[in-house]
Amino acid sequence: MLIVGLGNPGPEYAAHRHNIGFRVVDALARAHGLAFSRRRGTRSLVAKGILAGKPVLLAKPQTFMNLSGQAVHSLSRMYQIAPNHILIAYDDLDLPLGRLRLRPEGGAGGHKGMRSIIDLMGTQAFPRLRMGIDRPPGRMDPADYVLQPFDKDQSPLVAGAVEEAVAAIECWLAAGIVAAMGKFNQPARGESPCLEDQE
Amino acid sequence: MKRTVVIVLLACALLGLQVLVLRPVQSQAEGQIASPRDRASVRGLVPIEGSATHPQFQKYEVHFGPEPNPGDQWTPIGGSPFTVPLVQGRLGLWDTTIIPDGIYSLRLRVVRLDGNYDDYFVRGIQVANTRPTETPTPQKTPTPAAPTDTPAPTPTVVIGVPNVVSPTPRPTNTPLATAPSIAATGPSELPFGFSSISDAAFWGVAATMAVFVGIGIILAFKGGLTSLIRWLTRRGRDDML
Repeated sequence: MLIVGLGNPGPEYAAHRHNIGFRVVDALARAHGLAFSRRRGTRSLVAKGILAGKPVLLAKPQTFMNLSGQAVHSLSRMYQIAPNHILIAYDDLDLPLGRLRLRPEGGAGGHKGMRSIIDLMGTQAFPRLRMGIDRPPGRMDPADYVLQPFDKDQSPLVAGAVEEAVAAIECWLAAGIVAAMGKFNQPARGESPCLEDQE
Repeated sequence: MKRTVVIVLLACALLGLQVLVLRPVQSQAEGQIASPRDRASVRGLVPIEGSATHPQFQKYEVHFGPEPNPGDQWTPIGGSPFTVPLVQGRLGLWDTTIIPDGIYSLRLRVVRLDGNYDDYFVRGIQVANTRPTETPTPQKTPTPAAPTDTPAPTPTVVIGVPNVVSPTPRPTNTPLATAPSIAATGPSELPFGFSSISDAAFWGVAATMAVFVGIGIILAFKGGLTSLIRWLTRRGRDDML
């Protein structure tokens, strides 16, 4: 299994809305005591470990966002990972802040990182976890908006969303995409357990 | 924004340092014949004016030779060599009455203590003792748009009145004609106590390198080296979207 968080490399971009994918995989690595390191030939920072009883690779592409596909493609080839075993976590302007959306496949939806991945992988049939960051206020350019840090009053909501994303990914690993979708795509989640599906 | 300001300030500081360090190199003068000038027409006793200095000055010599001078034959003018450095003064007196009329060159040789020397030349001097002195017509230059390049009428030196220069206007000193301004600076005016050009150049390079190394060390200690490399190799904003 490969879990990729999208973002731009460098500390100056770390707090940007566009880097929320990095925050998700960082949190996942922290939760499981994994550490990232540069892996030659992958153009990524990579952390390896066992999550939910499965060997998992976490990755943060060190290309810029619009070239994320190069990193994902390299990782999938190097580690022989099929597209349906790759989950991409990234920001989504069309979802309210704090909302998650898991999908087994789909288009790029205007996200250039996803566009790059789809182009290089030659398929869009891979799971993705969209993280809501809200629309930009007023007539603000969306490009400016995603390349800015979250507002201070949004921080608790973002932290909660990241925690939930970690739980969603763990659920995906343990029970599959359908169960994870059923549990984490609901606007008001029930307390149903993350049961293994028939995938 | 803040990073841009810091970078601009650093660049300005480096440029300022370069200017300060290179200034003595550029302004150091060692020799020059200010008069007569190239293609001047002279007769009689001709005062040769200019500068002959060097931080390691031993002597200077003034010679004349025919043009063309395939045998490289040079004749010292009266009194040469001279053992006192000179700034903007009379280098010597050239008696042209004892040589045939024709075209000559003047050579100023500034000899250093170690025996090495630098030569400075004035070419195409017309010695015309047997016919009336002609003031040469300004020659047409290939680039009329650059008036400073057009030779103005050259001063004519009169026999027996060596210090009197005819009222013909001299060529204007322009930024291109740097020789006069260079000649005004002697070894005593070298800033920072540099004793020679090579010293100044060495310390200039050393100071520049020290600045860069210093910046590198500071950045490395602050963990900024990675940021700097990333900044240097950064992509446009479109790449981040």
